[in-house]
Amino acid sequence: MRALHVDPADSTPIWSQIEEGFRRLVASGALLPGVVVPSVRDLARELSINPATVAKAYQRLAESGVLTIRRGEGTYVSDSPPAMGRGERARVLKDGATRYASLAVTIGAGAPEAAQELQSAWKQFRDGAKGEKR
Amino acid sequence: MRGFVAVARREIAENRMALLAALIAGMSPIAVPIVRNFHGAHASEERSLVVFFAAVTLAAGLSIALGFSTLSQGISNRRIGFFFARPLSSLTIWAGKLTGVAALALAAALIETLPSLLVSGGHLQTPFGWSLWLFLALALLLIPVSHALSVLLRSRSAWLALDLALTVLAALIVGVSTRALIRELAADALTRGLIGLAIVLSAAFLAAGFAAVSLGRTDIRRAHRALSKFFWAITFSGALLSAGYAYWVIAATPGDLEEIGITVTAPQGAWLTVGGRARLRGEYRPNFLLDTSSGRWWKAQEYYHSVVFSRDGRQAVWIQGDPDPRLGIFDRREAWTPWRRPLELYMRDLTALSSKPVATRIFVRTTPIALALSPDGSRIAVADSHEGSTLSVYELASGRSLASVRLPYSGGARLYFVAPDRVRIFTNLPSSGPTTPGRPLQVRDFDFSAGKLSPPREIGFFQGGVLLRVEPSGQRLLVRDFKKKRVELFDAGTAERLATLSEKSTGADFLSNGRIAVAEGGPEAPRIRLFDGSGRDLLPIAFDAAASVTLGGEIAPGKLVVLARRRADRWTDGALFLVDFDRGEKRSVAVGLYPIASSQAWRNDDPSSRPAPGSDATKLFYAAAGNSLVYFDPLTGERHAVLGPHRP
Amino acid sequence: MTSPREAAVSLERLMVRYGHATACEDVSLSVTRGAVYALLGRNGAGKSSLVRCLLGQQKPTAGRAFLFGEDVWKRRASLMARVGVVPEEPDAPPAMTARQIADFCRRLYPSWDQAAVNQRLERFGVPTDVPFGKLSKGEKGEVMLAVALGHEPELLILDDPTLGLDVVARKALYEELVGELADRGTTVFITTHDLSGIEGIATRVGILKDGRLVLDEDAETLKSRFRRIRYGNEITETRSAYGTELDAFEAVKVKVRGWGVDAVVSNYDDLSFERFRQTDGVVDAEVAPMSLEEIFLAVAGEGPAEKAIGAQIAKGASR
Repeated sequence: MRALHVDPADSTPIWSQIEEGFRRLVASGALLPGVVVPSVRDLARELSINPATVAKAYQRLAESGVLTIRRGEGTYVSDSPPAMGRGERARVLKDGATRYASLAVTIGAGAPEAAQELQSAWKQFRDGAKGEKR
Repeated sequence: MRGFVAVARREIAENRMALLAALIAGMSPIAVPIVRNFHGAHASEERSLVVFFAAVTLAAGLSIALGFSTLSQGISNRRIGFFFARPLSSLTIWAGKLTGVAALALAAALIETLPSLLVSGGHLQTPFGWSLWLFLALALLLIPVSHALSVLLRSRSAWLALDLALTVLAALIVGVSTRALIRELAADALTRGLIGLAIVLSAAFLAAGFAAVSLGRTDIRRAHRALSKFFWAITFSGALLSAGYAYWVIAATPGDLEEIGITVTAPQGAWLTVGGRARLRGEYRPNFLLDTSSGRWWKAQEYYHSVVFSRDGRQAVWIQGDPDPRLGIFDRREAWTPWRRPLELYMRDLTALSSKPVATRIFVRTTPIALALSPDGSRIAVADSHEGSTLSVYELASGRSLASVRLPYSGGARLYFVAPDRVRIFTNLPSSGPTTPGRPLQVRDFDFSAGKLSPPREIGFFQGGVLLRVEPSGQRLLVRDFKKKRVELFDAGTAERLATLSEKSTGADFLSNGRIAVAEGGPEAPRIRLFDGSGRDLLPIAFDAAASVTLGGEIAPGKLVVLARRRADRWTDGALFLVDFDRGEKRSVAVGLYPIASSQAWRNDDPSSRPAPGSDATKLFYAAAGNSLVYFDPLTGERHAVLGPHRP
Repeated sequence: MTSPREAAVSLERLMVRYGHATACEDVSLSVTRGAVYALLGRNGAGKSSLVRCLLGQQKPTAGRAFLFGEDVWKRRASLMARVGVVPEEPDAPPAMTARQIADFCRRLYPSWDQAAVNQRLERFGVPTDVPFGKLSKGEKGEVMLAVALGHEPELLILDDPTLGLDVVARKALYEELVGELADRGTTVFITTHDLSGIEGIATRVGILKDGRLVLDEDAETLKSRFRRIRYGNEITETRSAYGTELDAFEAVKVKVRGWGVDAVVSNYDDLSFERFRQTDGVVDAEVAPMSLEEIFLAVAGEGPAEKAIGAQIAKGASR
């Protein structure tokens, strides 16, 4: 997985970096639904990181529906966005928003600037995904 | 087991070049005789020598070299960690590697013999019939030794100094007890002790070498410490045990004696010297001075010779020390004493309870030697029995030499004080065999206060051995020729023959009142004939049922103990008789007793050692039952055991 | 601390002394099954002695070493059936080829996967019929690793396995290691200088400094509490280099540079940093995460001032 980079020195845990990386790839359309992703073993070997870490990331991705693990066949990008209840989706969104907000605040950005960035990133992903689907 | 085999195989593979070298070395026994131009049997002899030597040297060399490097190098450079990181026990690693080395050394030696075997058609001679396997086994024993030494040296630890010190100490312990055993001629005990020690040392090397690997592992210093602890614990135990054994062997008592032999009895009193094989101590034969009446005894220190008792039985004199092996050997074992002490006369007062041997400072050169004590015990005459020896007379208490003279004779000599300042010398005496060819049995007198040696008087030539019996006064002499069975009476001063008493004599002796008893054998029934002082026949006492008779001691004036054997070849079922010459009677008093006085007479006919009539020596007997020493007075019937197992 | 019974590796107050020199002292640590424990330390810090005690090849002067709950000095032979060892100095007999080494080891273990060993050697590109002594350092290490994994050990002990290896060989080694972790969940105890290489793989980190274990912590929490804080101090010229503004943090190492202060702190949290940033005189405050290498340098690096501060580290180790 060329596009997935992990920096062990980064303050965020590696499993989190992997998780975020996958989300980004799926959201941007670089990883299409139904595509097979590397096994835990292969990804760990490639990145030289502990397989347990990869396994943890895959587990979380599977739980949130981004990836689907089919026993004996491998791990795939899920076909459709995860089926989530309204309450759960709200919570997940709120989590992400809180993280973004604290990041913005700590670097001294104001709310308008932050909102603007959020908008353009959203567009990027949407457009990218659309492009791929075509 | 698989691990052991794997480790051993690896060790062999690692050094397999040695086998090639062995094959090449195997060519030399074939090449050498060719080079030296030997042929035939000579060549094959040469070959067998070279093969043997080369095989043993090869095995030894490989044992030392590989034993030195195989384990300890790996410990000190930690490469042995390769084996320790595997599921191999320390025992497997140690045993596997050493066994591999042993197998290699053995194989190399045997490969070396192959070319010669082929040439000689499958048959290999060994020099002197030595066993090749034995020598190879000994060579392989060098492996654990070399391994142990290599650990010591590679560790570069200060403990080595301690090891050296302990080596010296252990060597001292062993050396002291070895010397003691050599001194006492306890060769069997020495051999046993040394073999035991060799076994203990081998076990020590093996155990300590294993401990080094097992407890040291990759730490060479710890390996050294473990090795030293185990090695010295085992070795010192062995050394102390062997020293203890040596001490126990030497601490034999008369009660430990089997096959007792009485060499000398005191003319008066109850003392005698007794020796024999000490029980459970191999062929160790200690000697004791024993008082048969009280049971008091003193053990002879080291090897001592030529004991004489004073006539009153209150004093013993003997020679102590190691003979100079250059001057002729009395006993082959004597030559081997490495710490030689000069031969010196010692004396001891037998009456004092806590007396000690006293060195007289009178030295002699070698044994055997002729000794005679003056009747009052104050002087001693000494002559050695070799050609051109010197007769010297000393004062015992001071060691001062009173006189000395050169004796022109060869062969044995007997000395006898006929007066306080005169010594009678009988020379050219054979102990067995004829008198020196061309030299007759002679008698001389040495008046040492005047320093005059009388010219010799000839007694005669004898073809067989002779027995001398000197009358207590010293004036008359009985000479018994073994071969001709003849007994003759001589005047001791003039050497004049007074009478021929018998032509079929088996024994003869003077009785206390000057009369003479002669035992006779021959085709008829044995008998004892009594003669008067001038040789006139008085009466015979016949023993019809006996095969032979042996004269014993005079237990009272005129009363003689006689052993009558039923069969010539043993005495144990013989009957002991008391012969009363005054009445001309005999009566049987015991069975299975052998008079000590008879064996004395036969073995050591020192004129001054004859037991006085009625003395204890005449009432001491060997008892057939249990090979013991018994006191028996036929007149009173008193009988008790003195030495040996006390069986009812 | 997990009890010795559960832990794959356990050291209890281990001390190793050679004469008057102490290699390591009062070292206690525990490695749970499935963990990857990286022991870091400068040369001479006592790592090798410790590893030898772990392998039952050296008897500790004091304390004990356990593998799978059993005293390894006493039960070494049976324990080694479950352990794969890659030593610092490759110690296979120089005359043996890789094939012979594998053949030798094969006989010693009840389960041995010769095919896997062959595959590994092929993957590494190591010639199997060249005597061990003639192989390069990297090839030697690869052979030792291939053989160590041959009996599918539950525990792998590696003593500085990447020493002397080039980039390619190092990558190959880590790949092999990770593959083993993925396939069998092997417990790993590794001492190393390649901090960046082990960073993503280790689950727990220990730092040995002058024979003592000054840090023994979960890798993730370690990274989460160490930060490098850079800031400007407006009153630098007139006052001492840094004052009380850093008091909220446990500063491990503080350096004053031309542009400001460079501080390594060991108990970072966002709230404290916010307060710090609001402190008078603090300008341009930045915070950056630290790699394992940077953390190690801060904890185990020398220098008298740092030595004194470095003694404060072990707080927070229970996280």
